[in-house]
Amino acid sequence: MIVNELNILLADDDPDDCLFFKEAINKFIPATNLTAVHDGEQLMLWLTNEENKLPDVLFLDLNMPRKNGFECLTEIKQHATLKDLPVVIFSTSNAHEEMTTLFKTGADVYIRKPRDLEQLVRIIRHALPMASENIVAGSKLKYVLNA
Amino acid sequence: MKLLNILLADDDIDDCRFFKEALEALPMLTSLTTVHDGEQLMTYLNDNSGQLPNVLFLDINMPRKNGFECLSEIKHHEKLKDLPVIMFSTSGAREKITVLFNTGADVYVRKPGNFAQLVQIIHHALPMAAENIFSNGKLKYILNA
Repeated sequence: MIVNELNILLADDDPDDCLFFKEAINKFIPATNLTAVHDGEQLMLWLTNEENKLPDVLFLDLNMPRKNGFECLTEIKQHATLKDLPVVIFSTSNAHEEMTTLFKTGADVYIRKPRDLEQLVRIIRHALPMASENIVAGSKLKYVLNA
Repeated sequence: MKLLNILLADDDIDDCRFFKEALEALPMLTSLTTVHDGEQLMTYLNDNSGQLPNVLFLDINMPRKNGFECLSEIKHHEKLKDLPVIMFSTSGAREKITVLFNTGADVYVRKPGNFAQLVQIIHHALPMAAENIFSNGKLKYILNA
């Protein structure tokens, strides 16, 4: 059987959060392939490097050095070849104004990082189809997970 | 295939019809019961407390007793408190959403403008509402934020 793996790119500078995310993906979400970058500049270099195939979805932390998640999101959504990339914001905060701005800038899903692995797995499972449906649907729905 | 019993409490007849059509478009077997005001809802739930629906979609602006009052009664009622509740509203006011989550709502859905979106949202909301029964830490979801 041929399974099309879902390529996930994670941009997060916190090594513990990356490890946690990796564990959730590798142990509980089959047919996925995870790549991680650790700051905003590294993310933009990775995305604009023509040798890399664009991921199916980007999980984007907001507080990152060099270039933060909001700056990256803005660049991605204004970039001719990157603008259709589904973006799941991955944040520790739950500030409503911030969410509204992020959605207006083009984010698809907003996740407040949960504390335990079981919750993270549940959330990623919900977020993956949500992020990809927005490419097809045209009119975007906005989702907040772990509000 | 397991039949999912859904109860919808909404006084708007068009919204009820729209919802029924959306359920029929889903790839799952569902059975829908509708009630049209808060008093009717509470009577229905009390009469059927031995055989509750799998999930309740609860509109907020309803006559007699509004959705918030119903939610609060449900979550304080010994036999009803575990019923998964999806709030179904036209508003997206954040303060209101927080109060509803604190009262025990599982999912908050802002009614979308078109049919395809409604189908998508119900499709996401059903497993979300169900999972909160089986898990310890409740997660809160806003769909169409």
